[in-house]
Amino acid sequence: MDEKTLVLTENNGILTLTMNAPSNNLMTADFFVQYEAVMTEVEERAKSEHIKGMVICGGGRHFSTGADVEALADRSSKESYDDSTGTLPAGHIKQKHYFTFLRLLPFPVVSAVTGFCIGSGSEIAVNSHYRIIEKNARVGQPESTFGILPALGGVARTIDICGMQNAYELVMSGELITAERAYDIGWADIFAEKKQSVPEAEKLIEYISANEDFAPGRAKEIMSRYKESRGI
Amino acid sequence: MMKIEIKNAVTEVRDASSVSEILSCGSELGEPCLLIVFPGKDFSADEPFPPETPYMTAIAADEDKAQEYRSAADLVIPAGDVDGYTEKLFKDKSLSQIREITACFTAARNGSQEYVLARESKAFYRLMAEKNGGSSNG
Repeated sequence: MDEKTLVLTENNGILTLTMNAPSNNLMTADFFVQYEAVMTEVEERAKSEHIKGMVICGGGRHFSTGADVEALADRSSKESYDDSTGTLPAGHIKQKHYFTFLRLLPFPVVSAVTGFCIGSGSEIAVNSHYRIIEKNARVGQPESTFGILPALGGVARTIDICGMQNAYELVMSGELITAERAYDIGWADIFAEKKQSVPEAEKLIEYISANEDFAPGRAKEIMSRYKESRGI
Repeated sequence: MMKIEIKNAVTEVRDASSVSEILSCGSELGEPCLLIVFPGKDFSADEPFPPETPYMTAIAADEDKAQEYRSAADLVIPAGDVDGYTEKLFKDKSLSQIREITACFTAARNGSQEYVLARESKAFYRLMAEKNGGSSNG
């Protein structure tokens, strides 16, 4: 993946990260290199007060099909983890930072979810403050079906957004769920028609910019007011 | 009289009168990842399972009773299809994998998100070592 397939743009104070990587944004080693570079740039731009929010979306039909599990197994076998000290590999800490820091950004981060949003792709979404899901999307954390579990925030954040029971079922079973089900259990904040998730995300960010004093800890209450204002 | 049936990752309890009675059985409950209570007519859900319970807890209830049990256990599951529910959750998973995943959830009852984030990472490396043939990754 020599060309830049993760593109960060800014328009009217809204950052948009568009993911156009091969195989429906399969998260290969190259994907992660680009992802970390882009998120370093986001971290820098977050210091500027004029950013209203960020939208993360897939450039094609799918948000992301998640990590390449075999590549992940190969990489982790070369990493050093000593369970007696609990010290995690530096590479993992860095990679995880660029997922979980999304929740700490001072502006709203909205994942516009289309098509498949699976595994580590879903972990980008659950680390975002908000998720807008399009009809026909499918989401899930299938890591458990490969003998592992989601470790880039997929357990902690899913519990936070969906509650204990829904999160346990999603993570333990590894089943993919429909957009309707994702909305019903609270995984998604807003249900959108086809091709409407990005415009809906921009609308949400503009609302927050105009009406709210955003802070990560207030994300849920702000969403409640937004939905009330829209009659959703 | 209370009946206990241990099935791999799951322990099923029938005819208990309260959570206290169940917990008083201690090691007779085995070492479940998920303990499922089938409440009889005398079961009181007034007292919830304590947050330090080292396994996930569930009450098998019909839909019209589900709300009544919602705050007593981690899960309320369909009484008519408990085997189907547990099959869907645990199919093709090793006991150690089920334990690692479950431990992240039981930790989340009281732990901060930062604690659970760290816990899921450590569990990932333990499971990946198992997947890679038992090497310790280190």
